[in-house]
Amino acid sequence: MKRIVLISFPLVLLSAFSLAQGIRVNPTGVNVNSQGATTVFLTFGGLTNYRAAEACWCGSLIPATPDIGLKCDSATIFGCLPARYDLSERSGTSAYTDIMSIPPSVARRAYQAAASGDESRFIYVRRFVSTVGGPDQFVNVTCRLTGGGARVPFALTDVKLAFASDAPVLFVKLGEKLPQIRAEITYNGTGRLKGRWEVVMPGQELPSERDLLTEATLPVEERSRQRRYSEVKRFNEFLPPSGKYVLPGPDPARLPNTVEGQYLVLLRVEATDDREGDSNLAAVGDANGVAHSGAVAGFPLPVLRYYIGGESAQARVKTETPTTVIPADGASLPSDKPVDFRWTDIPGAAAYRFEIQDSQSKNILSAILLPGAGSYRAPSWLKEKTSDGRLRWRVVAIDGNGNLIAESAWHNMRLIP
Amino acid sequence: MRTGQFGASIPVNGGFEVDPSTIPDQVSTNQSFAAEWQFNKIRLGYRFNRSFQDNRQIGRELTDLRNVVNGLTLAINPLRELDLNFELSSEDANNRQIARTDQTLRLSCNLNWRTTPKSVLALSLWNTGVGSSGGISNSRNTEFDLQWSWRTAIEKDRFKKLQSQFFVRYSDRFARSNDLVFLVNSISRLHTLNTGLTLTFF
Repeated sequence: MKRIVLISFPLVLLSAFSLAQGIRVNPTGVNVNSQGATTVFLTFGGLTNYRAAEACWCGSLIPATPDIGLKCDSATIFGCLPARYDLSERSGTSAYTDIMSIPPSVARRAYQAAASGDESRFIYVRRFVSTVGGPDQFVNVTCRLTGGGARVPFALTDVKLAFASDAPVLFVKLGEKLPQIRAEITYNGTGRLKGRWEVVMPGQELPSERDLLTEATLPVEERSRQRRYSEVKRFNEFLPPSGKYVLPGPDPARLPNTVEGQYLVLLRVEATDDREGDSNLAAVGDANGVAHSGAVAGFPLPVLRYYIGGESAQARVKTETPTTVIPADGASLPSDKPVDFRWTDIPGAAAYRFEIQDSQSKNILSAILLPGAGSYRAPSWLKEKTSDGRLRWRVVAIDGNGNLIAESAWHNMRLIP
Repeated sequence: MRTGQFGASIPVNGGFEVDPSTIPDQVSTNQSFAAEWQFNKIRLGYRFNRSFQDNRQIGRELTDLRNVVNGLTLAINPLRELDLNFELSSEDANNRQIARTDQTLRLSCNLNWRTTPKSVLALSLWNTGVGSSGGISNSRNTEFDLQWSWRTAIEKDRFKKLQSQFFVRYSDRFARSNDLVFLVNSISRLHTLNTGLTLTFF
């Protein structure tokens, strides 16, 4: 009997120790923004026979006996992780990637408690339920109240995509240039924001909700599996610890506009190195490495829609050209009399450039004329600019930006003495 | 631009006394340069950016990050109907604490050719390669899009017309990712063929 007790005692002690060790988390403490939302990438390890349950924030802890760990003192709970913010999921072999999104209301309550004399920190507690009837485990992370700048994990807390025109859904005619795009980003911490602007073309499969998450929000093994779309521009910008940044969008001329239909502009943010947001997977017994999670976000990034439809006036203009009327092609005119040129207008032209060249194709006259004029009288010195009297002329239509939109054919003429 | 942030006063029992490295103390510098040249049918642009995050917290003096970005863009309009865009960029991210440098090289090419007033051919090609020092991880993404659209319009008068547009698009996406630390080794390839017909009555 004594022998059985002697053998079984260390086994009980070992099992009790391993049970007590249980689920671990990394990082175990983070700095958070006391005046707004905070998002942190956490990894829990050792979840064999356990599944994640609810997560709450509170001011103090009490023993969870008969369960394992320390749980929230119900008198000091500031709030629980809303289901809509819960992007957590199983990862690796027996780990759990948790995106801790602290709502501003929780930070506010923690700040008020600290201002009234409590400790200037609060605790995030995640409960894990045994799937084999064992005791629950409570694992906690300390949240230290700070200003939200340096030393806080680099995380996006709000992103607004907009056209410069402030139109939520923009209708643009075929071939027309789109307005400038920008992304207004609110964030914690500091670091590199890098990624891509992409466009979902008409007919393409739409991105899923997980495709719209920033790369750092996903477990490492899932990051390379996000669906990619037509890339328009790449960006890599440094965001100082100031909390707000306006990221300029791609050159509007590069946005596709040649096919009718709905387009979606996506902001794809890649994970960057950020020491404050690192999660050491080795520390939780899941893998030998550190998951970098710079630019984590607790929400799918918004998309910007625009519609291309109908034919623009500019596109129509491209199919029409100014019609030259007088003088007719190949006409011979007396050089001692004024020469009048006439043509018909086209829609969409902001101005016309009237050009005359000599027989060597050298420009000898060029004039800018407003629409509606439809005629031009050549100056008296025109005949002096040509040695053989042979000339050719045309009219070029230009738009409001000075771009050439249409041109007439060259018409030959001759000045005879 | 140079920005410095440090904890001027430390809250009592805020958790900072346990680990002084949690008290913010960082100086960051950000330097940018951009230039653009416009010629008759050519536009050339160059962009440089360097940032350095100098962490000065006790015990974390070496957790510094340095990033350098170089970008070159070239736009050519050899014909009125043809637009060509090329882009080449390199990114260099150095993490001093773990002595690791990640390099990204990206090349892209876009062509937009209005073959006739009614049809447009668009071609895009991107290639992005990422590699880290010591060959710990690397990845490559290659993407190719080819699209042709054709448009017709029957116009009887100002208010009676029928417009249609047909397009066909082929996309090829290739992605390979390899990470020796996390034992991630994935290859994915996606071929897509899209066609569409739009009819507009008004």
